Amino acid sequence: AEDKVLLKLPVWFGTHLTGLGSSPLFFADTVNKSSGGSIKVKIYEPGKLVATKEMLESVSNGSVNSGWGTPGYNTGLLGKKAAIFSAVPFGPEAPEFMAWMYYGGGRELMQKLYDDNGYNVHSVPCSIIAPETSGWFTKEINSPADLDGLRMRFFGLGANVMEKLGVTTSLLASGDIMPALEKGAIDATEFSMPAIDKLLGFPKLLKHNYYPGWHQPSTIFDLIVNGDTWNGMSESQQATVESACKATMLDGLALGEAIQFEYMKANVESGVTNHYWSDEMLATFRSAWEEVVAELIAEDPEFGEIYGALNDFRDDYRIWQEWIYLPRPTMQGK
Amino acid sequence: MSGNHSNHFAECDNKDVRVPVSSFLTSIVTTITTKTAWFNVVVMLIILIQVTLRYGFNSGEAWVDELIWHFYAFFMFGLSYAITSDSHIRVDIMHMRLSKRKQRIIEVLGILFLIMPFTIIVFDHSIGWVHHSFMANEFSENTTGLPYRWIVKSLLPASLILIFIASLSELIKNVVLLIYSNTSTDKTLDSKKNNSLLRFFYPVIKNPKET
Amino acid sequence: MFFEPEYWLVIAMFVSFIALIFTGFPVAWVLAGVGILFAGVGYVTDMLNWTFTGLDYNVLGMLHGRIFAIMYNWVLVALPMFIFMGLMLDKSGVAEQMMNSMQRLFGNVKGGLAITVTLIGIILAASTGIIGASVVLLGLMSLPVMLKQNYDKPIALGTIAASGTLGILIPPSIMLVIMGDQLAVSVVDLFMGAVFPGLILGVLYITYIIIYGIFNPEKVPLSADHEPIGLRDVLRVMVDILPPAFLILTVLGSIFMGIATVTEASGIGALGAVVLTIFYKRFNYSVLKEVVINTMNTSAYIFGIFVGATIFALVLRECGGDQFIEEGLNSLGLGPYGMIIAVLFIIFILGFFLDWIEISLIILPLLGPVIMNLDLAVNGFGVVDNPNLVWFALLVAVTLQTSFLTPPVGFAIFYLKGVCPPGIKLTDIYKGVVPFIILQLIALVLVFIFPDLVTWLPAKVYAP
Ligand code: NA
Ligand code: NA
Repeated sequence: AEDKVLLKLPVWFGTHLTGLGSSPLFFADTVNKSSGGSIKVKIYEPGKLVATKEMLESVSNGSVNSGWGTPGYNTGLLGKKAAIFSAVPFGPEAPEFMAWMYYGGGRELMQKLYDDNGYNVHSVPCSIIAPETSGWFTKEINSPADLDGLRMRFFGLGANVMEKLGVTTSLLASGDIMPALEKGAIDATEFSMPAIDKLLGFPKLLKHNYYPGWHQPSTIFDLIVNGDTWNGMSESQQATVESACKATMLDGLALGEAIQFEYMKANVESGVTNHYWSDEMLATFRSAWEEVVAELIAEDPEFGEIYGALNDFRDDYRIWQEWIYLPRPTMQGK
Repeated sequence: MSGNHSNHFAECDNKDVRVPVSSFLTSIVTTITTKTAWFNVVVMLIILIQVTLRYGFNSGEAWVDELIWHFYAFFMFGLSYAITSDSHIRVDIMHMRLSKRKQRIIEVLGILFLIMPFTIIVFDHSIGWVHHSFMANEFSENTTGLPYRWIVKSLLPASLILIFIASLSELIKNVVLLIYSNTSTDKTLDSKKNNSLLRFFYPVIKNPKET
Repeated sequence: MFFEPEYWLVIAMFVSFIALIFTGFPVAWVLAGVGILFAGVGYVTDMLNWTFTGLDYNVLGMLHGRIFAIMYNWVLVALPMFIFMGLMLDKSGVAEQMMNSMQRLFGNVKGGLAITVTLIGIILAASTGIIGASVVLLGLMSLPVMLKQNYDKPIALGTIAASGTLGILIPPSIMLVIMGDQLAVSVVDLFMGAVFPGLILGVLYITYIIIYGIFNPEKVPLSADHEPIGLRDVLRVMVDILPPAFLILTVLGSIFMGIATVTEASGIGALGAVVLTIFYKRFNYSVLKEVVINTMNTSAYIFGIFVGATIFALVLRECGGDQFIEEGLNSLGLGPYGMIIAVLFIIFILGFFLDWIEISLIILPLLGPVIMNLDLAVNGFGVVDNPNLVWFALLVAVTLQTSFLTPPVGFAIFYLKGVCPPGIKLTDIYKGVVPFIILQLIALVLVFIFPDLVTWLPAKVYAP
């Protein structure tokens, strides 16, 4: 008979951040109910059990048996290539990203990255969210020159792009952003989607919110389980976790899509201007991104392998994407 | 210096007594920590540079910010110095009414069962952690941050070694004083003084000049 | 019945901790050691099938990461910097000169020096937001002057400890930042909401000191060479205190205006103190060296407690300490306001033994959802989101402020003890803080009865 498993699950984001941090709650609830008591998931808020930056190490060496975050937060240990599994600037949106992850070899590459770096973890993609807004500013940004010299909180590969344009970026945790803005340690920030940004208080200080989310067209999160814990679980327990994660992917996406408009409207009412990047600015971001990619590939061949695999898939996918979808209404040019 | 040892040890302050082995261990700790204490001045200077760059030249780099906390992290070394200078905070309401002997017993038990297990266990875990950081060539999570994260990480096990040495020094001193405060007469002390090994554990009252 | 067998471990941990700190062994190491020992105890009771904590040697592999999180905390960098600044101002005699001069402004008011200390405490609170730094800085600058002037020890110590703790209420405050994060309310609302409660406390302190001075003039004496004050005196005082005041005001002002970060301002303030010392021709290598070594030592014992507390908290949590509190509260069955009073009471009691970090990290996230669903009538003026939670957070903040002052584990008391001259006992400080704890409870009652004290300002400031 299988042994009961208690998955202690420290998470990277506070679970109060609906849509972003709340996914583990959905996952825990699903597993706790559907496993019939054979698995119990217990969530620990950020830093309560293990410092978030140490989560990967702690899960790998078995100090805690699972963790919930995204590879892009572990670039210090895994290299910048890890961020490809989180979000890619000008990269795939949710349906395409999931297609690559589940059926295009993405998931295997993600697992391989952990394995190659000596981490004893089993990774399960376990949530995805729609695009994030590309930043909150105190002033309008009309040209690349307006970005030069700014200090900004920025995540992932997009941070490299912003650095190219003269922005000094730092990767602050959610709770540190507002105080840093208040005290002038940073002038601008991106964090997540309007509903979550509102919870952190951005609209009160920063009145210019920029769209579209070129830097994170969609973001994937993963559950990591200690390798020994995973191998010790029965087939039925493993299947429960895997399918609960798939359900969580769906829920994260649906919830994120459902709750933003209300906050966008409220932001406008409280004096925030929503801006859509001009064609010039988007072109600037894109060409900077292309330079960044070239540099990252030159620095680290493995970055090139993973990015190449994603790009090959995207090339194949393009014909379908271009033919099947209706033109999308956007703010472009308005 | 002869004539001022004997049963003084039962009631004198620990800081007025020298035990050669302890003094040696303490000197290791103080030599290192009083040097690294100056890194706070370095922190100030980096902050000055950072502020000048930021407000004077409208530029800032993540690695400058990180350099600040890399040097700040040396505060961990201070924890061992605070043991040797006896400045860690104590709730001394009842403690100060106890006899010197009881206070020394508390020190010995506390060091053995509270400080030492903590230093050994955390040290053991942190060694693999630093090693992994080294092997992975861990880089800052910030794009333009500092490389070689293992250096600042290694400050943690290093500071634990210092805490261990400092508490070992206090342990020896308290044990020696407990022993001598019970049995000491000038004669037994003088006979032990000539024993080559015990010589290092032989307590002496410090000169007023030394204290 | 909610009682799980693990809860015996939670209770045993608390009891051991409290018993052991009374042996006089350093608090930092008692916290660390009890944490480690109980990991072992939990492991054994698990083996005996009495408990199910999952504690083992491996779990302790999270400790170095938690300690390292203290080492890369960029906000805490300000702590050694402010300590350096305070020590430098003290050693150079600049602090004494400034305190004396400022006191002259209060002319013949008994307790003028204590009032000065409170005012500086408010300014410090608005600048650093770090209790350890405010208390240490205030203690270093003002205690020697107060004692020299024959102040009664308890009133002097009480004033310093209480004024130093204003830092957690008056923004910016690390505690409010953590609370905002834990309760999912906007930190800016909390910052603004804390302004009036903080000022009320300041006013209460000053009023108390004045009344105390009227009834006990001999305990808060005037300086021996005091004179009636005229316009010329005011000018002379201004000239006297201008350079140090300039330093402190630029440091504090730059933070408050949002020009510099706390870390930047603390570093510049520390350098500024060196410059002032040179200006007054009191600077030399031995002064610098003494300040450098003392800075290390003082920072070390404060950080020692951070390190110990993070170890204790991990093991407590693994034993189910957080669940214990949550389930215990739910089993009480009280109405909305009764629930809040019960929660505040428990926090007040926990504050006798625990640090605010542990209290805010353990209790607040559990209570947030409960409090949000309570039927409370707090007015957010249509601007403040979650006015109930903002009000509740400030009630907790005022309550936690007392935890810094309540024996036996009062961090403000510890910090102050660390910089006191040898003649002063912990009991002197305990005696001194009692009236100030009562004042804080009065402020708590005011905020409880008038929630608008909290929500009005953020509503005004952030109205679209
Ligand atoms: Na403050
Ligand atoms: Na207390």
